[in-house]
Amino acid sequence: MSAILITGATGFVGRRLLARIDPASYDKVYCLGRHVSAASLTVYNNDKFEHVTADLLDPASYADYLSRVNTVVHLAAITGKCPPDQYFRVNRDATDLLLQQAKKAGVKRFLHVSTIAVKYPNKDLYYYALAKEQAEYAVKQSGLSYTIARPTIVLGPKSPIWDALTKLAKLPVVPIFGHGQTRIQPIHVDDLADSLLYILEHDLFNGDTIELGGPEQITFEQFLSDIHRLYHGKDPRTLHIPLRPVIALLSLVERPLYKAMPLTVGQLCAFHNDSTIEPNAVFDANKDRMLGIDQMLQQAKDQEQLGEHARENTLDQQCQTFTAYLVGAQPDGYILSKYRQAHSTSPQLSEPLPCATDQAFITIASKHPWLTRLVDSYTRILAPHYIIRRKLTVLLAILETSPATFRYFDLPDPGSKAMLLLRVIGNAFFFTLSLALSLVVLGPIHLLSSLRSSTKRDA
Amino acid sequence: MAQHLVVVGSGASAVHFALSVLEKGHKVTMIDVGHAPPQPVSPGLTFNELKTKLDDPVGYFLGRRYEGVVHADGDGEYYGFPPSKTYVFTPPDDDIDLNTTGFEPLRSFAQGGLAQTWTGGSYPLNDAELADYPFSYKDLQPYYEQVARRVGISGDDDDLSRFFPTHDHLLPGLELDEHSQLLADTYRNAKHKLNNGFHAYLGRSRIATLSRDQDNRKACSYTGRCLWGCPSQSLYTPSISLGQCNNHPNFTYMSRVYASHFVYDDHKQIKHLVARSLADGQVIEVKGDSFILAAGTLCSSYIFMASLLHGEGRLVRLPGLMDNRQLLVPFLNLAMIGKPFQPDSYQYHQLAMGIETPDPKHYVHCQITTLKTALAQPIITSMPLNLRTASFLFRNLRSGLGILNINLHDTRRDDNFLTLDGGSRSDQPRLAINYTPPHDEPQRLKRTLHTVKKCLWQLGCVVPPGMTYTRPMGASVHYAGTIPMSDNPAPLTASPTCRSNDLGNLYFVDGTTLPFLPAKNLTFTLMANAARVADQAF
Ligand SMILES: Cc1cc2nc3c(=O)[nH]c(=O)nc-3n(C[C@H](O)[C@H](O)[C@H](O)COP(=O)(O)OP(=O)(O)OC[C@H]3O[C@@H](n4cnc5c(N)ncnc54)[C@H](O)[C@@H]3O)c2cc1C
Ligand code: SF4
Repeated sequence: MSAILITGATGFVGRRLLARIDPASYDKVYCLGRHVSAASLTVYNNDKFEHVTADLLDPASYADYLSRVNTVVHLAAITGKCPPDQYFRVNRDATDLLLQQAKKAGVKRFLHVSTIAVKYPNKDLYYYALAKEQAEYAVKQSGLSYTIARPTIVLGPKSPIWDALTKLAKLPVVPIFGHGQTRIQPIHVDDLADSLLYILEHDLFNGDTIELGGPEQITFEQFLSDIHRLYHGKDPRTLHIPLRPVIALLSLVERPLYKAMPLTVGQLCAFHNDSTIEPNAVFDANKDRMLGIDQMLQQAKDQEQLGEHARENTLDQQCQTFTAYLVGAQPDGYILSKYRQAHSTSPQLSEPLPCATDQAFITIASKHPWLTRLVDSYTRILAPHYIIRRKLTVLLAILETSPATFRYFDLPDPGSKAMLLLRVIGNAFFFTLSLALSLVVLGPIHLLSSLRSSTKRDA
Repeated sequence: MAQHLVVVGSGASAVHFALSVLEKGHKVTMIDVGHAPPQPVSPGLTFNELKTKLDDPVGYFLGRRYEGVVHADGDGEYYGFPPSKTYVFTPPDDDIDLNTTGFEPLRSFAQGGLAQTWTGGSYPLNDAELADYPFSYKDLQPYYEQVARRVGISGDDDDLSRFFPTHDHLLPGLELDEHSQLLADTYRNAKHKLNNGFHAYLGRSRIATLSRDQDNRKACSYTGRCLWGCPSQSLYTPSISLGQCNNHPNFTYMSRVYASHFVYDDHKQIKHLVARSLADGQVIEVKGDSFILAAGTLCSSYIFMASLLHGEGRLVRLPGLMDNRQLLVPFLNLAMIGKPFQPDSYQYHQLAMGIETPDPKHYVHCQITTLKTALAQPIITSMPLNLRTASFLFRNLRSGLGILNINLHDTRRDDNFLTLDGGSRSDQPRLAINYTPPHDEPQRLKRTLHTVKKCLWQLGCVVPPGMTYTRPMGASVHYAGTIPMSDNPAPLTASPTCRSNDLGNLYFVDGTTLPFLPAKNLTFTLMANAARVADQAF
């Protein structure tokens, strides 16, 4: 076995990757981050994960850990808006330092996460991509066994690019820079994490540069129109803005005014360079499982409405109410973290998205164990395909394999056979009662929302 | 004279063939996709200790993607394969496409093949069942015994010996769990009724699990972890024999290699095997004196058909595909209700029931698994109740629950066949699998179920209504019959020593050559037959 160190472990992609790493495959997983947030800690549900607070520009803060690992995954980077030299410090210089230290420490394998923008033919003003290009060069020269992964546009909860794009796409008239026919191939953050994991698990460190995108390509214009339609229910009016003059103009004011600018000049480059990938073995092996563009957009919108933090609270609340219903106890931290983990890694819980009634049932069921009982009884008979059932099923499986609760499923209730018979009668009565009640309470909700969705479809 | 034999596959059939020819001084190169099993986790722990002592028990039992959870809108099975066994069913990159009708096939590309997840039922066929074979029980007996010696099969000489001939090297039965013991005791009292009224007999099943230490393997220590992978190798899997082959100087194991087809000359002698390295995609040629297909009936048949297509442009159809229809009958033993269940016991079936039929070839074979360790979730979610009520019932009835698995025989019929068809890929054809059950199957199923329910009632058990499940064809994973062996040297068949009647130096040592599929699980016969071919042909 071996140990691994991940930079940017608490970031957008890092957290998704951590949730997927099988602790059994490693002796230790060192997670480098600048600070520990409570939310990020929830992914360390195992002793093997250790958080290391470190500054990548200060090698002393992490060098010691490098000597204990043989693999490094380098995710840390600045992607948002910042003064141009900052890109070079963090994305190039810090990578350089990390590589030097890794070499010194005898690290064997280096997975460098870069960006598709490195392959844009002209990126003179795109400092982020320039810095990343120079970092790639450093990786190639390092003498380590490496793979460079170049993701395209990455979507998912808290996606940095999502905010910028939705702001544009929600406008009544959507500005399209350039001709809009540039092609992109967005990938969901979970699918990116899966692909990175695939590289690690298959030990693909042959000095390749692997481009990672989602299963579908689309033009920029179509993509923005799709987002617009998602929020406004109709196609947008668009306004084509010639790109070159805008870039020329903005580049003059970029340095002093970067804070006030909605987009960097570099980001505008994406409007006139295709961001699609060359097919490769990692993509081929994972593409069938990836989310398509429509699914990504819908999910991003739903999660935006909910907010990621709120989502976790909601999951915790669900877990508490459902556990109280299923085994009459409160879940411990381990059970809570497993329930959350299941929602980020189990395909059964992420697809398809719950329909409106299902969503309503989930909300109702999370309010009180008795309501969970009603929803459970009703859906068991009348809506067996609902996501709420999958949630309960996964939680049941977690409870019966967790140290705190597994005995609940093992031991018969104490008492004589006559007592048991009474209990069986009692339980049968409760079940019938809850089923009858649920028909009265939930039946109309089910009926109404099915009617509503069918009229919507007809319209 | 020592020969160089190229064997495709490392499953139960392949390893027993290889062990036998190695013992005779031949040289073996084994070609295999060969996904490797994971290291056993904490071997000293029992099923329940895993839950309290592992760092991440949920991860172990359910997997990172929670693939061990069985959702009720799934396939109706009562258990799913745990994450520790997913390697058995992982297809290789760039696997062939399938086009199936009426059949749900399982294939394995693991070191040890499908039997890495088997439940160990090992029953010799009797003379009636071997009637269509070009040999009798007496001819096969020494090989059953040889395999029993290698594998370690435990069982008893009891009422079922009328169906399963006894052979040497049978180890004493394992300790029965309380529920199985109760069923065996009840049978003793109800025997007269069952034997005379229903022609049903009950006894110990024969299982490939050690009841005492043998060759560096430990006797079963009743940890209850069988489904997740026996950590002490007490439950036999072919990877154990593969390990023994690997210790032999004349043995070469080439894993991560995908066999494609044979290239043969005008005299129909194979020159070499064409294969693809899964590590780097390179095409390789493997030469040898004789070539042995043991890639499992479906894959062996495919490689054979692909060879004829490449060699002569001949598209053939292999009729006679067989598989045992299985019915799962959950039951509740009323006398066990309220008792605690026994987690520290052997998990799989320990009892079997045989139903005699007027034609002994139509014998009905049942294995009885009392519920001990298992994940409760798939059972609880399959009950037509809310989860709270279902959990309540489960925990109180757990020790009395069990499943009886009925197996029916199958015959070779023309409309059940394998062939190749175009599909969407230009580089390799699709494997087409077509299966239609016999016309009288519904009546047969109904009749058998009726008898079985009555027998269970005599044993003090009830069958909850609505929970009997007819498994789809393909689910029993007892595939056979596409290139039958016989004395008649017709094309697309095999000789009595399983030599191809089409390509001179090709042999089939897996299920492909069985001319009839009795109700009994076939793997013991596959292994014995492979040892027989090794002995008689080389
Ligand atoms: C859950 C389960 C329970 C079972 N229980 C029982 C039981 O109790 N009793 C019983 O008798 N049977 C049981 N079986 C059936 C038993 O597992 C099979 O009969 C047996 O595994 C067949 O062995 P085989 O060697 O013929 O083929 P397989 O096990 O299919 O092995 C095929 C081998 O060929 C290799 N291979 C395939 N194609 C290629 C290729 N193109 N190139 C290179 N290598 C290739 C694979 O890697 C593998 O090693 C069970 C099966 C399952 C799934
Ligand atoms: S055979 Fe099953 S019960 Fe026996 S030691 Fe192995 S896992 Fe444990």
